[in-house]
Parts: sequence; C-alpha cells; structure tokens
Amino acid sequence: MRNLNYYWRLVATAFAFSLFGFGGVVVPVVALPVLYLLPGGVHRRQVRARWLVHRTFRIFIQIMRGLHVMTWEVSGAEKLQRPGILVLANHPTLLDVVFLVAFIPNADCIVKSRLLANPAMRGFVRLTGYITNDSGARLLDSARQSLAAGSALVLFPEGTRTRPGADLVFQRGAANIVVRTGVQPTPVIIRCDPPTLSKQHKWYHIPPRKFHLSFRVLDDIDVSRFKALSATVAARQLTRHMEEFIAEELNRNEYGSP
Amino acid sequence: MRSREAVYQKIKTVLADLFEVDPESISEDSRLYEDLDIDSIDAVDLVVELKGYIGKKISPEDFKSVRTVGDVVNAVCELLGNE
Repeated sequence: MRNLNYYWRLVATAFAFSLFGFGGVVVPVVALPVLYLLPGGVHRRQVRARWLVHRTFRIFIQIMRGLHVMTWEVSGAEKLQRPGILVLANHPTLLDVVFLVAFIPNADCIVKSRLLANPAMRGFVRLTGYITNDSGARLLDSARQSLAAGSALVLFPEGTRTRPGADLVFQRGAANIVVRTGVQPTPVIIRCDPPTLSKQHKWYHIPPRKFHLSFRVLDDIDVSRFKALSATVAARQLTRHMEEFIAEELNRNEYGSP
Repeated sequence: MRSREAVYQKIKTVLADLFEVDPESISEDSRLYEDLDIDSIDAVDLVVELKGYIGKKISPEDFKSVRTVGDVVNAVCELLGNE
C-alpha cells in the first residue's frame, strides 16, 4: 500500500509543518520593528500586521499545493472582502484558520488563549491583536469593537475542531455576538476529504491520498426573526438555527445542488 | 426581608424566563453550568436581572464562587440581608 507517493507526502507534510513553525517565529520577529516604526496608532499597526499575515498565509497555501500534499478551492471568496462581517465556519482541520486568513486581508480571529503558548502562533497572534478567548463577557466587548472597527471577525462556533462523525455542537458565543451586535453572520462551509489534521490526527497520520480542502462562502444568514426575542433566548434559538443550517450545508452534495 | 423560599421561587422564574430552563428540572442542587447549560455570558445577564430584584448595585464578584442554584439563593439572601 505504502508507495513512493505516501513517503513523499509524509516528508512534504513534515516540511510544511517545519516551514510554518519557522515562519511563525521569523516573520513576526522581522516584521515587528518595521511595524512599530511605521506611523499610525495601534489600530493601523494591527491592520498592517493582519495584511502581512494574510500575505504570508497565502504564500503558505500556495506552497502546500505546490508540494502536492493537498489541493484546495474556494467559492464566494469575494463575500469575505467586506468590512465589519462576522465569519462563522465549521472546523474540520488545523489549517482552517490559515486558509480563512489567507482569503481575508483584514481578519480578526477569536483564538484559544492556548495559542499564545505556541511559538509558531504567538508572534502572529500578538502582532495582529487577535482576540484570545478566555472570558465570555469580555469576548462580547472585544467582538463588538472589532466589528465596529471594520475587521472581518473570524470565529469557529464549535470552539474547537469538529469531532469527525459527531453532530455539530456550537457554543453560544457566536450567537451572542450576532444577537448583541445585529451583524448577520457569513457562513463558510469547510470540507476536508479524506479527513486529516483533525483533533484525532497527529501530523504524521497523513491520509491515504492527497487531501482536498474546499471552502464555500455562503450568503449571510438572515437573523431578523430573532430580533423580537430577549437576548438570552435569541442566542439559544439562533445557536440551534445555525447548527442546523451549517450541518445541512455540510451534508449537501458538494458539487450538486446550487 | 424576603424569605429564602420566596428568593428561590424568584430565581426559578428568572432561570425559566431567561434561559429556557424547565422549572420542573430545577432544584437547589442543580449546577448552573453542567445541568442547566448556563454559560459565562448568561451569568452576566443573570446578575443584571438579579440587580433589579435586589434593588441595589451588585458586582459579578458576589457571584464568583456560585456553582449551584442553591449558591445563587444564598448569595441573593446575603445581599438582601446586608441592607
């Protein structure tokens, strides 16, 4: 079973991980003095840092394709170029956030505070001012400010990577942001075939063949019917609505119905 | 001063109205997070709601160690009693 292609992809995957780790340390170290010397306040600096990370990740995803470990496609990416949007995606793989940032020039992301302990991510998270998710109540304020400042706020409502085969379960943070800011969410449906880089996979558990990641950006979800409800009840009902909506889109035949 | 039972009934009503919790399923031992699915954002809303009931400023600190419905009742009783 294990032919030359398998070993190529194993080595190339190891290389890609190393490259990411190297870039995650070196890019922020080189960029930091430049970003601090450029004129403008904290916000301008973070917007520039996000653009830089966006370009860096774009290069990285091209390299991933060039290494023949994976292929990827995106549809509806233009919908991600609008300011002040809330991007909600399911979370099958470790690469999801890398791709979303590669598609979005001014992305603000809600990330686990644990990423600050990861040397490959710490520099990026610090420079861009990504929101680290440790407090529910403060999260709402940070999200509101970010959207008001015109960022595209990226959030995985599951709070962690999807467990393969399990039902989608969303935490209520995403719905609370929608309910309390009035911003209609922009859903992104991510599929990975064959599954890899999930929470159950280590980096060397590479799939039996080259994997394919697809990103479908859909039209904003209409949330007007939740407006009449109190915030706490609306957040609960909207959470269920979004779970069902995204689960249904995930089950849809990828190349089938429009 | 309101009786402990009155406070408990009030809190049951608030939990049912705000968080779609079935009042039948609530007991003093119900854990807010594990049993009633009340998260940290909900907790802020709960404190805001209870502020109106208690009728004075309260800080989230007063509810920091609260885990169960009984803990909430105790915290509210204490705040009422301290008036």
